[in-house]
Amino acid sequence: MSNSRPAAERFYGRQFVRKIPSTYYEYPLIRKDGSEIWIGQNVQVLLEDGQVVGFQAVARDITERKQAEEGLKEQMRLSMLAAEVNGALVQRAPLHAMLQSCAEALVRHLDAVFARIWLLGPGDLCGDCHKASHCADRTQCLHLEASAGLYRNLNGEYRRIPLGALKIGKIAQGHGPMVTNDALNDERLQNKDWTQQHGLRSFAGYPLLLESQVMGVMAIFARHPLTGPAVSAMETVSKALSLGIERKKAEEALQESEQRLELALRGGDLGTWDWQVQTGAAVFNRRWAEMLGYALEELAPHIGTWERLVHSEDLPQVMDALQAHLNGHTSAFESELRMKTKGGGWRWILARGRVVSRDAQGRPVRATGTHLDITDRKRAEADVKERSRQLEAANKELEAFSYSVSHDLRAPLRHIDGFAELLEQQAAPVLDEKGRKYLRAISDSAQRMGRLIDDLLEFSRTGRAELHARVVPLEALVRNVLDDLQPETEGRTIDWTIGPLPKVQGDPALLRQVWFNLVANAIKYTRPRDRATIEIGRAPSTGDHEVVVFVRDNGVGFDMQYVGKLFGVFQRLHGIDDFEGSGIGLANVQRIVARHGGRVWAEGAVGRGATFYVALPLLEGDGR
Amino acid sequence: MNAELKRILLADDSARDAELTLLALEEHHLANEVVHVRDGVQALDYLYRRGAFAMREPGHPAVVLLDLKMPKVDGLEVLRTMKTDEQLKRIPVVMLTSSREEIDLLRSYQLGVNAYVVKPVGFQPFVQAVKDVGAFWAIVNEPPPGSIRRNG
Repeated sequence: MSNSRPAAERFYGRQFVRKIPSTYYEYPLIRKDGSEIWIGQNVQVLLEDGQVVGFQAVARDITERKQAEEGLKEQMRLSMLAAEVNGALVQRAPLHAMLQSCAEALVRHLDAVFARIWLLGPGDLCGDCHKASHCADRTQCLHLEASAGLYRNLNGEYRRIPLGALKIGKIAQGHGPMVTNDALNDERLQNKDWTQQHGLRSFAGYPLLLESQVMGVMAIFARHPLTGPAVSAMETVSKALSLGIERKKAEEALQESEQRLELALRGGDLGTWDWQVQTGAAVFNRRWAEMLGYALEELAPHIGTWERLVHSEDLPQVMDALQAHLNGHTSAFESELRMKTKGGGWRWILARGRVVSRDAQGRPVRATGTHLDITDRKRAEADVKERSRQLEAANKELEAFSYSVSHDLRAPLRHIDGFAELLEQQAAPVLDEKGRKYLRAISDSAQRMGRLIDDLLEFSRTGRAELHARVVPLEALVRNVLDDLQPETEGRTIDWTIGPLPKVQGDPALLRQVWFNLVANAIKYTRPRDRATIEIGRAPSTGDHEVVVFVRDNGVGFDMQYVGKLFGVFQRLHGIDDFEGSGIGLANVQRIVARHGGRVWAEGAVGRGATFYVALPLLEGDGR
Repeated sequence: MNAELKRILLADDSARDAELTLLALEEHHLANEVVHVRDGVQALDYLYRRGAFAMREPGHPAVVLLDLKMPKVDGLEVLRTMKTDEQLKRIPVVMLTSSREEIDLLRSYQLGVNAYVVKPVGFQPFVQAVKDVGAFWAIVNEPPPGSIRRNG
């Protein structure tokens, strides 16, 4: 007898005690061969004087009818399962909610103790995973995504299962579905104590497959045997679930990308348009309208809306560009155009787009694209253009000025000098020493002014000359400068110290002027010293983006109070009678160095020499 | 206006410059060989034997000394006209100018100038430069056929 026996005994006990004359009772029995039969039993109590004296029982085998009934009930449950699963799959809910609904449906309609769903995902908890020793590659494992029935938490022992580990991992690894109605004795299952404790009888685990690719596993435990229809329902559910998961993932990816696009559009301040070329219908987004001061509802969804708002001066060029693209002559449409705002003003719009579908004859059917408000950029461009024009005009003026200086200022000087000299020759006999001295003063002054003009023109040229930059080895350049200055050192005692000097990037001719000026100055301003020392070397730089080179002398130096005047045009800190020069050399040095992106500065003290520093941008790859 | 053919044509609008130039040329006794004109129009008239120079002897000067900045037609224009004229293009032309602007140098050489001399501000270097130019072009250099020769 099956365990329905106690219930049957209780039933008939009550009939006798209450002296109920006749009952009908249906109960299952297990036969010796283990199969189940259903008995329908009619029992009549025989009473005499209110005393039970016997009973009469007629039992019939109603197994067939019972099975038919059960089958019908199961069929109903299974169709409800299918309906519920399908409902879950088409819900607009996140993936995990969809999986949970399916697990709940399995528990409810298959009368399972619990149901769980795992999906394959990247190995993310490998460090803590106590099943790591079962794990083959640690790149992927099964993640518990849904759990319904007896167990509902997702953070327990089985939240991650390596492929190939335990029954679930084996199912996922390609061992196929696993179904048993003898959970206690099936050696594929572990935890027998637990199985017994919960009275679990059956287990069914199905891989979730999509085109033979494993996506996950769904499994249930139940206290009753799983019938054939229930097992095939599981299989059906697993297939539907696989498709549902895939679709949901695609949906979520699409949604994400749509969100990203929307964010990008909003962030990029883009209006969009979608135009049915053959009907003229056009869909604009809100931003498209707002860009021009309209509410979206105010604009007819037609291409005519766009055409009407384009500036008439821009329309021909825009239509040409559009037509060229529609005809397939260009790969995309792009045009900068002015559009009228609701308020009557104009905005500059960058319109871009392309045909996204054509009909069989190749005629455009649909085109989509964007609008970007570039008014600010256009204004800035116009400003820059205007500034450039002004600058160019100023430069031209300056050029004209220096050209004219070059031509016109030198001629009178030549005349002054020339005629003073001629006068001296002519009048030599009648001139006394004083008279000749005056004439010489006139000549000297004219010649000095000539040099000033030449230097000034040179300075102006330095500012305008194009830079022809290349790698310049400073050491060779400095030695070359020293050779040229050799005549200036005749009869002098100078101790030279020239340290290793770096290579720099620059215009060799202009950089040469820098070192020529600095070294010539050092020679000049040490003239009063019996023994001059001049040191040229590399100084430690403050940052790693520049090299600093210095020229140090023990000459007359300067007062730091006037250091600001040192690099000014025609600024001199010494009398012309003490040290010759036009006062343009250091101004030139500064201008050249500045044009190379560098800077110059100086330190000094009266009577104690001076040091001039030149910092130039570091040549790439020139480490220390 | 002197209608003789001279060996040097000097075009300079500045009387003072011209005077100093002539003084310098005098040192090689070349001053009498110079025709001085005041602008580009006169220079071209002389070269083409027209206007005031219609009656001058035929033939070309051995050298033309041109100032750059002159009224009416400037030195570059005279140079261009000469160098694009079959008859005149072989006459040596020397720019004798105050300008050392790169653009002037460039244009002059592009137009085919034969020499470019910047007049120094100092009188002595100026005299030296002009003397050298005169000596080279009017004495040392062999002019193209059709030019008047020294003592010729």
